[in-house]
Amino acid sequence: MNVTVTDRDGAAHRLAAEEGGKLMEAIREAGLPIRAECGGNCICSTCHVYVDEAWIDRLPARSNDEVETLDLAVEVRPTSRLSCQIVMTEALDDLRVTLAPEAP
Amino acid sequence: MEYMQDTWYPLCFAREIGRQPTRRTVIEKNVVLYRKEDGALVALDDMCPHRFAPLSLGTLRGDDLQCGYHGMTFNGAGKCVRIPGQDLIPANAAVKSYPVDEHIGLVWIWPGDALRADRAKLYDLAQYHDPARWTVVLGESLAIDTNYLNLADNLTDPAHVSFVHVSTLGNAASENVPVKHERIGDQILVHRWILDGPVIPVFAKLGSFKGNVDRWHYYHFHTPSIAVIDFGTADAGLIDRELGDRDRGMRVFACHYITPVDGRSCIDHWAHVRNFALGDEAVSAAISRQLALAFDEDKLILEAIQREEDRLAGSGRKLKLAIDGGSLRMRRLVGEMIERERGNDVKAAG
Repeated sequence: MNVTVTDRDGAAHRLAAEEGGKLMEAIREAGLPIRAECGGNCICSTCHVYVDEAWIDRLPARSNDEVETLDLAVEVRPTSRLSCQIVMTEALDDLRVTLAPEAP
Repeated sequence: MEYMQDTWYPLCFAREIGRQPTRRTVIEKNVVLYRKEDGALVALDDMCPHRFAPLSLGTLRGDDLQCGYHGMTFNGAGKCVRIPGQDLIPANAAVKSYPVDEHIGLVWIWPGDALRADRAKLYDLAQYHDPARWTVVLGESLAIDTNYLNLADNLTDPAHVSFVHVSTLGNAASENVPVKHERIGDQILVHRWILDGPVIPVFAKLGSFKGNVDRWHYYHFHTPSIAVIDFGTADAGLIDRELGDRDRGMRVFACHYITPVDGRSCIDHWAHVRNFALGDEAVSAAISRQLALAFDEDKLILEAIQREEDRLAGSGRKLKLAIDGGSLRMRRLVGEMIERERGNDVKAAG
């Protein structure tokens, strides 16, 4: 399956993602600049992305942990998600997200 | 730096305060403490409003405190009762008096709005009142030149124990055991079990474990500056983790009652509580020695961190790793409570 990730310069990248894997891993493996400091444990918020409006309702809701950790992120929007908390499923094929600004 | 104001801060051990006026500092406020003739505690701003001399350099006259410079005298409520050389006492000749309490061996102070001071909000350690099952030992006051939240980071972080305290409280068996954390009201709990591994040095000395053990870390943090660390050991497989009957093992609570002094220093008033060798003073002393050793190891690192923070003057950014969930949550909670308090102040003013 594939996802389209828009980087912080506005360039769109179509990436391969593995079913059952985390979106964060697909972004990292493609060499796009997210830090993912905590290794996908929903601690650091450095894998923050904005999910395309058309897709946001198709994702499972944020967990309480994700809501709390998003507090550490900057420029949080209603479409903000931590990409380590998005598990790729068939239903998310062709998902579109944008990398959020890095927290200072 | 911003601090919670409407809360009870631990200030010192109760044994430290007697009939000698004594200065202590909490959240950048200098306070003079003394006891009245009946033993009741008094806490006043430690500055005479006349020439700003510290009142802690003064002398007690009965229940009142006389400034050591010109003899202005204040009662325990901070009201001026005498000005040598004049009869009239102006209304603004007063010092702030703080709500203060003696509880579980410590002096507690409420720096915020005295009308909101509520004894029911004092931190309580239930085991302190149960000598039939627990032995309490009040330890020492350890001054650490680090921001109190750096110390609080350390006390919501079981992961450092495997590396910092290998001669006392930890060993390598826990290096890769994940840490779980949760928020319970205004508390943070960080915990993990390390199963079927070797006993740590402190329990090897105090216990008689033959083989591998299960051990636990339950780090309780109470905002803004109290940490109670429940750690212990039992024969492997003895305790059902879900039932949580940790009293079947050797169980110690290391209690840290932290006084934030200013932005770069704090005092860790530590104590310990245990469920074995009750009343045995040799065991009390042995645990105190081991903990003092371990806390000096923390002090060395935390003071060095503070020096780096001073040098960076806010320009650095710390990595946030998988093991940091408890500490990050703790900091978020303290920040949130400061915000909440600001909201209360706005409401009160409005």
